[in-house]
This record gives sequence, structure tokens and C-alpha cells, in this order.
Amino acid sequence: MLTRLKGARLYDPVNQINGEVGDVWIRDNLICAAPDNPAEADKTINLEGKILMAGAIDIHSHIAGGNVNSARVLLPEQHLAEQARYPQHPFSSAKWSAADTGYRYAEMGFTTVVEPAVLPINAAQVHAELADIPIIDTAGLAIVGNDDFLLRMLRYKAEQARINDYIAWTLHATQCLGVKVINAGGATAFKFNQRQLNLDDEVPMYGMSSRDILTAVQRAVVQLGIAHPVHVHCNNLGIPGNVSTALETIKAAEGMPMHLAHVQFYGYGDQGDSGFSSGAKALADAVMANPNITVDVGQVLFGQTVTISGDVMRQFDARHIANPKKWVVWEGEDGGGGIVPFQYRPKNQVNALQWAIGLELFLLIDDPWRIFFTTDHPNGAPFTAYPELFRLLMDRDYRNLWLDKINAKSADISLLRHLDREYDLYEIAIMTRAAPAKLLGLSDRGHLSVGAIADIAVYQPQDNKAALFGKAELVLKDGVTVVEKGQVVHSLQGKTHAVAPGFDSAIESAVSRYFDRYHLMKMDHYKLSPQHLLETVGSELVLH
Amino acid sequence: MVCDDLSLPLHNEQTIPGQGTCEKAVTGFTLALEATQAMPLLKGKEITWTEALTKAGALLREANHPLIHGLIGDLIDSKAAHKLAEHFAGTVDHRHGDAIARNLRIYQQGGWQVSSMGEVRNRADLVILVCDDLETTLPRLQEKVLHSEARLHTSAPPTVYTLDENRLETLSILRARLANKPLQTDTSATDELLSLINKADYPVFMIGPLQDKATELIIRTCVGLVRDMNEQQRCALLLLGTGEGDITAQLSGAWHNGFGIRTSFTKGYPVQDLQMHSGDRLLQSGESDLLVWISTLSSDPPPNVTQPTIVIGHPAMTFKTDPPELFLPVSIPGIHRAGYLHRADGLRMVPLNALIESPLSSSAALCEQLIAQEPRPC
Repeated sequence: MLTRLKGARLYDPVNQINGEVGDVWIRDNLICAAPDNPAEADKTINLEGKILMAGAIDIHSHIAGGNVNSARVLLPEQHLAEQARYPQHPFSSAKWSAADTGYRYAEMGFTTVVEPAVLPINAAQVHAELADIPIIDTAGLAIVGNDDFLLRMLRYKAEQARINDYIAWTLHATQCLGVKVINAGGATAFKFNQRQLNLDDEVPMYGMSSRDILTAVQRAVVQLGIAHPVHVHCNNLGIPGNVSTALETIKAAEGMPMHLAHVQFYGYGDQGDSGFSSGAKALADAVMANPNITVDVGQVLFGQTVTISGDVMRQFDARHIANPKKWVVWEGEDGGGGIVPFQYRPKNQVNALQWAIGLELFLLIDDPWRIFFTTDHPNGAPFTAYPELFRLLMDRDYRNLWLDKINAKSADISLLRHLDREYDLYEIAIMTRAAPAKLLGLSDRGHLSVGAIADIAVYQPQDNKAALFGKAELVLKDGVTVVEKGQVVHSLQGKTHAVAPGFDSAIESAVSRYFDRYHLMKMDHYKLSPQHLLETVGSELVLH
Repeated sequence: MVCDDLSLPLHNEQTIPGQGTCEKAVTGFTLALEATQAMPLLKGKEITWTEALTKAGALLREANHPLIHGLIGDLIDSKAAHKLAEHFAGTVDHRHGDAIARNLRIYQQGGWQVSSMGEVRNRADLVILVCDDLETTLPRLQEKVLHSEARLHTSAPPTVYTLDENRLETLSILRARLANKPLQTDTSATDELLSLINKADYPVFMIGPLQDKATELIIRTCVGLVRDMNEQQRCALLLLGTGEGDITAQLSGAWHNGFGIRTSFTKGYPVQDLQMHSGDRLLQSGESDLLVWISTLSSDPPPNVTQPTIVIGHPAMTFKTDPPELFLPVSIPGIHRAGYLHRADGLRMVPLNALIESPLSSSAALCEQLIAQEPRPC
């Protein structure tokens, strides 16, 4: 099947194509070279006047796993259904279900999404949920840094090479694409009734600091050659003055690759009457000065949402601000998590400043290859609010309208009114396509090169950028038309991506003995088997 | 508990009686090996699979409100059940729906703070048992969780304190005393427990099956106790399922339909109602006119009801009273086919492997065939 996508304005930063009109040719599931004779096309889709990009990639969105699923159950009132959305597709009427996640992402032209917090003990359920999300490709990041086995290795001064083996084994056991560290040592400290853990605080019982854990994991990721840098949820999330923690963490990276997640939640100073101010300028300067650092924002958008995180210590601390007044904290082997519903209100001084800080970071960090478009779904806002965020980034006048509506004090102290920058389509294509693919090591997507996977999003140009990105005109996944005029027309099974770095098999013997001693199951059953996943939940794994 | 260290007692095609550690496992293995029913039954008489699927499809299409119930199975069975309910505009519930719904009500009203079986095994220094009979439901809990000496930071197993039948009063007094509330009653019976809690670093209230008429209040009191205590010290709940697919049915239902069990698709979209969508109520009131009973982990027969019944079930299932309209024997997870089942705390899905060959289809394959008989509307 040879398809010609004809005459669209192309935005393909990997190939330095910035709005030039051209054709994209697809043979089956891949982008191919134009044939000598255009009449060979089996199908031609006329896209004159439209915008065409590769399918978008979300590097940090909580779409699967025990924490997400428990949040669904906790808050039935937040996703009541009113009507069947796509009667022809299973579970399309079930809001905030696995099916709904796939359909809603596809409608906006997203074709790959990463679940950034896979606690290894819960990895099987994560993969089962990911397999039930239609259309989009997925991946997970395995959480380490509160696992007793790793902390013991550090306590007993294990060689870095052995730590590398263990990290590689963890990826093998969880079938994930990369490694995430959440408040390194924090969940462990909380188990010993410690309520805060700074970067250089000692983790009780283990005799090393949070920094020591982070450094060891970061080195392992670098030395193993894993494409995605260690994905870091820093200490002290949400605390006024925590920009210093983020700055210290950037220094701790010592020039090696590190990705800092949802940095809006770390952009907080402690100046002013209320002891809460924007630290965005200092953070943005540090990011710009350290090319080894990448960040995603975790933008806050106003409205009801729920915060879900593996940072059990910080989530427990947030219980008093739950809205509605219910919250969940859970602990399990090697980690934990918490669920705290929350409503961001524009007239609330703190919430309004959080909103502004996120946008300041987007606008001050002038390198779309190193800053990523996220709301930390659903923590800052649900991903379904992405169209609003596109508009805020691309339309200064619209931002200024909002500045007149939010808490006046926050609007006054924010830099936002002085930032004229507007993202253009080329920068959006970098930030949501080319750069995420590069950051994740998924070289087969995020661009329109010959041989790339035919994940394509086509949009109707219009002044209202929320409308532009909210409903794609056309979306192809693996060369198959899945969305037309913002509506899902065909559903298919996505794939799940993972890496498989090598490791010395001796580590497996050690882990197996550890499991026999401390776990409720055998290591062989703890490790995910790709064949078993395929046979049972239909998960098709792609190893990179 | 989904123990993965027990094996099928096969030796020269004979069963080996009792592995000595888990009668529940031995019974399960033995029943599976004795399961011989390979053909479907229409009112107790064998028919072909083609006839059976045609009949089942017709019953589902003609029903105004099918109830997909039982769900005593693994993840594959649960997914099949939820898909069937969505496709045929039915309602889904679990055999232990009353207990699941009770816990959901508590959870959805205020949340809670919980731990896992692994954390209790490795970290808890005091376990307060709030249950009737854990030996029957979770026969190896003592061995695998409560009595282990290989623990992360100590070799001493936790102190285990079992609450007696006065548990609600005990817990209420305890909560009041911990909060320094004045009490006009004799509190001496709680002295020992209070002392143990005050000395403990990580006490856990382990809640298992309860027949107590005040069960909901007991659990709510435990939830409140744990919430209060965590203001100053560490403490947690551990709520345990039955091992009959209850946890898996609820959790997989949540990511499929957004809510879990007791969710109805009769309006074309999911509506959860923990009271009105009780399977037993729908059957007794006659609101459901077809029962589809799915049970692959248990050979217990379905409830005897007036509605026509389709059983998608364990091949060793027998019927003492009237046979169901249709009995469709299917493969057993962990015996005939691979699968996944959540362990009792819901944190880990444990893989189930196929141990012996079987000609039987899975519940998922059967349900897909039934769904395929009626295309979805456009």
C-alpha cells in the first residue's frame, strides 16, 4: 500500500523543514521515498493548506499503574459519563479508562506516550494497562532509588559495575525504556517516620545520602549506554524555596546527562510577604547554562484534577490540602505512593503563581530541544487540557488576558507580562516530536525521514491554537488512518517499547537469593516475560 | 496469596495427596486434574460448541439486562467479563461484591493509608489481626507473612495480636485513648494493646474476611485510627482479598470501564452504583433477565435463580439442582492456560503458567466469539 500525503506544510526539525510545502510518502507502516512516478500511489490524500508533523510524543504522563488506577477508583465523581462517545469502539464511553486515554491522545495527534513511574513490584499491572490503551505506543520508566537491594549495595560500597548490572537487570525485569528516581531514599525515610529528606540528608538505616543514590543511578544509566538519561523527581517537591534543591540537583549531575521532571513544582522561591515566589529565572538560567540537563515542565492549568505520585513522603504531607477531602497513601516493596485530589484556582495566590512559574520556565528556557511539553498528567492538569497549553505558549495576547483574570498579586510579581516570546510551529514540532524522540532514544519516530515509522499528525491552521491542536484533521498510526476531523475512526493495538542493556548474570543469582529471603514470590516470576505478556494481555514489546 | 512456590502434584499421572502446606492448593490442583467435561451442556445434555455458542449469543442478544456475575477467575476472565458487559449492555458484579462495595464506599468517602503483604512481612513489628478465619481464606499467611524470621532490618517476627469478637468496642476505645479523649468506661481491656502500639515502630491493622454485622464500622474505625496515628508515628492498614479474583475483578474493571464492579452499561455508558447494581439484588428483583456466571478458579455452582443462566466455568463444576441453561466449560488459569492474578493486597499481579494441555478454550476466546456475533453500532 503506497500512500501520498500531498501538499501539506511540513514541520520536520530533524530535517530542518520549516513549513515548506511538500509530500510525504508512506509504504505500509513506514515513510518512504517518493516514487519516480507519482501515479504509483494507491491512495492520495490532498492536504493542501494543512499543517503536517510527525506524531507527537509525551515523555511524562501517568497513564497506567496501581497509583493511576487507584485514583480512578477514588474519584468516580470526576469522570462520570454522559453519553457514548464512539459507539463503534469498545469502552469509548468510559471516561478516564485505558481506552479513553488512547482515543483522547490520538485525537490530538499524539502517537507515543511514556508512563514515567513503574514501581517494579507493580510492573505487571502497568504493562497490562498499557496493553489495553488503544492506538498509541507506550513505554514505562522503572522506579529505583528506594529499593532495598540497591540501597544495600550502596551501604556495602558495591562497585559501580555491580550497580550497573542491577540497574540493567531491573530494566530487564520490568521491561521498561529507562530509569526514574523519585525523591531518592525518600520513601524509605518515610517508612522510618522521617517527614522530609534533603539531597544531602542521610537515609535512615542505610548510611548514605539521597545524592549518593542519585549519583550511582545516574552513572549506571550513562555507563550502560541507556539512551534516556536518568529521569529525576527531585527531593522537596512543592515546598517554597525548593528551587535551591533543583539547582543543587543540577550541580550534582556533574555535567552528565540528567532529565529533571515537572520542574514547575521545583520553581519555587521563598521571598515576599507570603514566603512564596517564583524561582523560574534562576532555574531557567541554570538549565540554559548546563547543556547536559533536560527538563519537562509539569504545567499547572486551572481546574479540578488529582495529584498522584510515587513520592509518598510529599504526598502524605499534602493530605491537608486534598480537595475533595479524601486522600490515599500506600506503601509497598521498594516504594510507595499517594493520591491527593486538588483544584487549582486562578484567584488563589499560590495556584496562580504555580501557573505563571510553569509558563515562565517554558518561555525563559530558550531551547525547545531541552524543555518538554507536559502537565505531569494528571498532577498539573489532565492531558486533555493540552490544547489550552498550546495556546498559552503560542499566543501572548491570550496569556495576557489570563494575567488579568488570575490573582492580581501573583500576576504582578510574575515575569510573565514581560515575556513576549511566542512558540512557533517549528518550535512546537521540536518540543513535542523531534526532541522527545531523541531524548527517549526512539530514533524511528519524531521526524519524517525515509524509514521512519508512519506516525503522522495533520492539523487545520487557525488562529486559535487550542482548536488547532485539540482536534487533529488526520492522524496516522503505523500508516493506518486512526483519526479524521478530530474523531477516532479506527482503533488498533499499540506497541510497548523497552530497552535491554546487558548485565553480568551473577547479579541475577544474587537477586534470586534476595528474593528467596525477603520476597513473597520467586524472582523468576517477578521478572516479566515478554512471551507471557503477549499471550495473556496482548502486550507487544519492542526492544531497543 | 497466589503462592508461586507450590507445584502441580503430578507423578506418573497420579495425584500426590497433600503437599502439607496448603489444602486450598491441593484441592484446587486435584479438582483441576479431575476435570473432564470438555463439551458444553444445554440443560445438562451435551451439545456441540457451534450449537452452544449460537445459543449463548441468542440469549445475550435477546436479554434486556444481562448480569455478568461471579468473576471467580483471573485477569483474562475478568477482562472477558467486563468486555461482555459493555458489549451486551449488561451489568457486572463479583461473587464477593458486597465486601468489595463496602470497602469501596469507605475508600471513596475518605481514602485510607495502606501497606502491602511484603511490607508487613519485612517491616511490621506489630500486626493487629482483624478477621474471622484467615486460615481458611489465606492458609499460608502465617508461614509466609507473619512468622518469617528473614526480615529486612531485624530477625524477630512481628508481635501478632488478634482482636476478639469485641473488636469494634476495643478499636473504638483504643482510638479514643490514643486521641486522649475522656472515656466513661472501663478501658483496662485495651491496656495491653495500647502499650504494644505505643512501643511499635510500624504497627499494621490487617483486615481479612469478617462476618461481623458491624464490619463496615470496624473497618472505618481502623481507617480513622491509622489516619490519627500517622500524624505522629508510622502505622498502616492492610486489607486482604479472598483470592477468588475479587481484587483482579475490581482493579481491571477500573481501567476498563473507569469504575470497577457493579457498573452497568444499560444506558450505553458506564454507571457504577454500589447498591443498586448488586448482582444479587438485580436477580432477586428480576431487573436482570439473564445471568452469565463466570467461574474458572472455583468449581462451585452458580446461585440457583429463576433467570436463564449461562455458566462459563471450571470444567469440574457439577450442578446438584437444575442444570443451567448452558454450561460452557473453559480452561483453568494456572493449570490449562497462562494468566495473571493479583495477590491478596492488590499490589502485584502474579503470572500463572499453563501446566498441562487442555482442549478447552479460554473464557476470553469464548467471549470474543460471542461479541463477534453482534457487530457494534456505528
